[in-house]
Parts: sequence; C-alpha cells; structure tokens
Amino acid sequence: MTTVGAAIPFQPRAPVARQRLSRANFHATVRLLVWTALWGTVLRNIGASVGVWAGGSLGAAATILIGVVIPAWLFVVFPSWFAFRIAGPHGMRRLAALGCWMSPLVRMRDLPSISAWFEVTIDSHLRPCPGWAELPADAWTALAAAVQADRRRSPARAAEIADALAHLPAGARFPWLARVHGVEALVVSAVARRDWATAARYARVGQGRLIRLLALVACGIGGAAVPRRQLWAGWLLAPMRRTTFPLVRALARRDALAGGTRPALRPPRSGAHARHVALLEAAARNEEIRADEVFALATVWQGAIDDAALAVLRARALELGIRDGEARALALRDQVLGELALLLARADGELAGAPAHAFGETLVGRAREQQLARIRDALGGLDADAVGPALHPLAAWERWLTLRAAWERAEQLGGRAALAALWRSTVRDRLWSYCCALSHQHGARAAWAVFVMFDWLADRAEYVGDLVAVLANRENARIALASLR
Amino acid sequence: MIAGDFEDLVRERGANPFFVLAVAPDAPVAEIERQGQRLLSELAAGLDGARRYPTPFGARDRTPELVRVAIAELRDPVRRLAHEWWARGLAAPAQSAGVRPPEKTTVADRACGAERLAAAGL
Repeated sequence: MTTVGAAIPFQPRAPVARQRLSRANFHATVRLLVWTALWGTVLRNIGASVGVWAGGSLGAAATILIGVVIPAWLFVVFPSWFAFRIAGPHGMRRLAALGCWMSPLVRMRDLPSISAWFEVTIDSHLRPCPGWAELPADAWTALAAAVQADRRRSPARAAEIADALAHLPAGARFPWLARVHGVEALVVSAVARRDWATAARYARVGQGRLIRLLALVACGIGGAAVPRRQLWAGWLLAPMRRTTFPLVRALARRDALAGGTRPALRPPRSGAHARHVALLEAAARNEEIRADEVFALATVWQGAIDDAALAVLRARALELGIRDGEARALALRDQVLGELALLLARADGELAGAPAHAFGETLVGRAREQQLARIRDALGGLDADAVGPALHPLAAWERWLTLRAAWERAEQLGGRAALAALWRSTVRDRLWSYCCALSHQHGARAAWAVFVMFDWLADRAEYVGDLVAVLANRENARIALASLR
Repeated sequence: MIAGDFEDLVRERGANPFFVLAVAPDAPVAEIERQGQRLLSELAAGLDGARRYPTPFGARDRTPELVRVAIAELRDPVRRLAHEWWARGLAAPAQSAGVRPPEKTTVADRACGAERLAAAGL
C-alpha cells in the first residue's frame, strides 16, 4: 500500500495466508465432490425411475424437461431457494446454511458471511453474532449491519450503508443473492412498519421480483400513479403473494376510486411556521425532502422573519419585561436558520434552486458549515493509530460512512474551496493512513472495505484536484482489489 | 442529522405550552396559572377531555408532567416570547382557514378543538 509520505509494500502474512488458502481449497474440493456425488445420484435415480415408468413413451420436450431442465433447476436454483425462502424464514439457520453450501450460486468464501446474515435476520433480540470478529467485511456482513441498524431504529445508519452499497465501485463484489435476499430483508422490515419512503430507498439497492413489487407499492402509496396491470403482474410474479395481497388490493382499489388522478395526499400548509413544522415532520418520518422544498420554505421565511417581524418581536419583548429584546429576536431568527440548515443537510438535490436573497445565502452558508463540522467530527473516528485487532473491518468501514455522507452532501452544497482546504489540511492524510493501517492490520478480511475506501479517496482527490493522491489511491485500490480476488 | 433529532423538534413544536394549556398566546399570567391548575385537577380526576389537546398538526397526549412543564416555561418571559411567536405563527393559518386558536378553556371546547382542526384539514 502506498501511504501518504512513503511507499510501504503490501505484505500479507505469507504462511498464515498460505495455510488459509490450502484449507479453503480443501473445503472447496470437498464441496465439489459432495455436489458431484449427490447430484449424480439424484440425476441417475430420476432418469432411471422416469425411464422405467415411461417405458420410452415420452416425447422430446418431456424428455428435455425431465432430463435437463428439472435437474438443472434442482442443482442451480433449488438449494438457495430452499435456504432463503423456506429454511431462513422459519428460523432453521443450520438448514439454511446447508442449503447455501449446496448452492452453486454461493461462493465458498461467502458462506461464513451468509451464515452471519442469517443469524442477524433470524435473531430478533439483536444479540451480537457469534464469530462476528472473524468475519470479513463484505456485502453480506454490510447488509447484516444494515438490518441490525434498521431494527435498532437507526435509519440514518442503515440508509448510509444502503447508499454506500448502491454506489459501490466496479470490482467491489455485491453478489446477486445479496442484492435479492439481503436487500429484501431490509425492504420487508421497512414495509412491516409502514415506512414506505425508507422501503423505496432500500429497494433501489436490490433486485428481484418481491423488491420490484414492494418498490411499486411504495411509489403508489407515496403518491405516484401505478398502472393496475403492472401492479397485479408484479404481484403474480413475486413470492409472498399471500402476504402482499392485501397491500396490492388496497392500492389497486384506491387507484381505481381516484380514477388514476389522485390528488396529493395532504394539502400543503400555508404560513412559514406551519410549512416549517410540516417539513420537520416529513424529515422525522424519513420521507424524502428535496432541496428546492427547503429553499421554497426559506423564501417564505424571508418575508415572515424580516426586519418588521423582528421589530414586532422586540416590542413584545419589551411588554414582557425582557431587557435584551433585540438579541432574543435575533436568537429566534437564528433558531429558524439552524433548523432550515439541518433540513437542507438532510434534503436531496443540489443548489440549482437556491434563492438569491440574503436569507437564502446565509442558509446555504450555514448548511455548508454544518457539513464541514460533521466532516471534522467524523475524522475524529478515523485514527490510524487506533486501528487494531479489536476494530472489525466492517466497523472501520462504517466509521468512514459518516465521513462519506457528510463530504458528499458538502459537495452538493457547493463547498469546493472549503473542501479542498479541508482535504489538504486533514482529510487526505488521515483517511489515507487509516485505510493503510486497516489493510495492514486485517489483510484480505478488510480488502473489500479498503478497496471501496481507496476508490472513494481517489475520486475525492480528483474532485479537489490533487493529482498525486489520485494516482496513489488508484494504485492502492488496485492492490486491494487484487487481494480481494 | 438523524431522524430522531427531527422527531425531537416536532415533539417540541407540538408541546408548545400554549397548545398544552389551551390558552391564547396573549393570555395573562394569572389565566395561565388558573388554566394549568384546572387541567391538573381534571387529569387527576381522569376526565377524558383533558387527556388530549389539539395542535395545528394533530391531537397530542396531555400528561400532568407536560402541564407542569408548560406552566414553568411560561413563567420565564424569554421562553414565553419564543413559545408565543411559534404559537401565533402556527395558529395563523388555522385562523385563516376558519379555525379559532385554542383560547376556550372548557373541557367540551377543548374536546371538539381537535375535530375542528381536523375538519379544516390541519
């Protein structure tokens, strides 16, 4: 790995790595032998039984179906289907793990992480997963962490993980089964508590028929028009039809009653105060907020908290016997600005619609300052000297997520100059050293997380025009990717 | 910023002492004290009408602790100024929609206040 000031060769502990490799090869060979023996026996028995039963009367299509399609389905799809749709939901962890072991869709090295994911999704008591300390950081363990965060009512952390998974660099593995079943657990969890905005956000990360259906339902409930035919077709194709039927029926009936031209669910409130609280409520419900909504509110506030309004407040302060009425009035204005800045930091979208008036400019400046403060806070947790065996690679990656979220929002708020200064003064060296320390400490177990972080570092270096850091971090990402494969 | 912080802000706005005590923002101190004591008595007696209070964004649960905190908040002129400002601002759209601010003090009036706000779409 190339560190900030010097090139330090990446030296995995060779004997240990070789020992692990040979053990992994042994397990993979055993797995292949079991597959061959088991499926060979199954195929032979099917062929023999059907052959005897049919006595040569089957046509070409039936023969292909029985001799090729069904055995192929049994071999390729059935084990993972059984693990994720039957054993897992019924709490049979070992059987689910066995199903994954038998599935050719699951890589050998993913098996421990998948077992941990089953532990977390099946266990409703949020106990720490046994053997977690030995697991690598990968998409499965990240999804397990997201499920735990979601259940602990930490939607911000779960959303950060989901967002990072949605923006993985090319090369960072995100297995298909994880996209389907791992993300599905998150979406179903959000749907179960009727948090449709969060469900729609999670659904963007995943794939699969159930996720598509639930995303459609979430969009419909969020106010978008959903064609009934598409809705019912999605329901027909998706699993868990009995569970999702009431949802789909209710949405289809509501759409039918509204004739496809449903009005907005709630009429917009009038008045700066009421609109302000309405937007706070939306943020508290984890609904999506757009930056232009916050700017529109700021424009309303511009008129509602102008000099005349402050004069009225000062007069009332005098009536109440408050000495420093001027300061109190300004404190209220400051409070409003602070809350608007929080909303703007939480909102999606860029500054295209930023109002040109002074209040709007102050708001943008305040929001930018908040993000820069968040970046500085997040950097506190990224200490290379504190990286030791006790810090799990995934926990280290999660610390970086806080920095990533704050930085990317600050980029959207247009703070390139301030970010460039912060980059050169602290962010670059600190995060760079942190990634190197993590890689040296955990080796291949941290490769996935380190690759993602180095790639992000290189992108950020490009954003601030730090060419040396771009080249070095691209190289570090390449090394991490090589040890990931 | 996490959703919990926004929840706290929304809760804070909903727990505006003028809404909790169902008095007008310009109510004198004596009326506020009298109304607070009356509500505490009604809550102690278990009257259904006292257990909920209307706000422009839905009815909330009223507890003796909330009433005591509201009375204490309005004793401080600086805090009262802020609460007054929010209460006036939040009540203004309700008034323009034909809904009076919460100034009636009888249990029956308070009980139907939530319905009136709901009828006005707030």
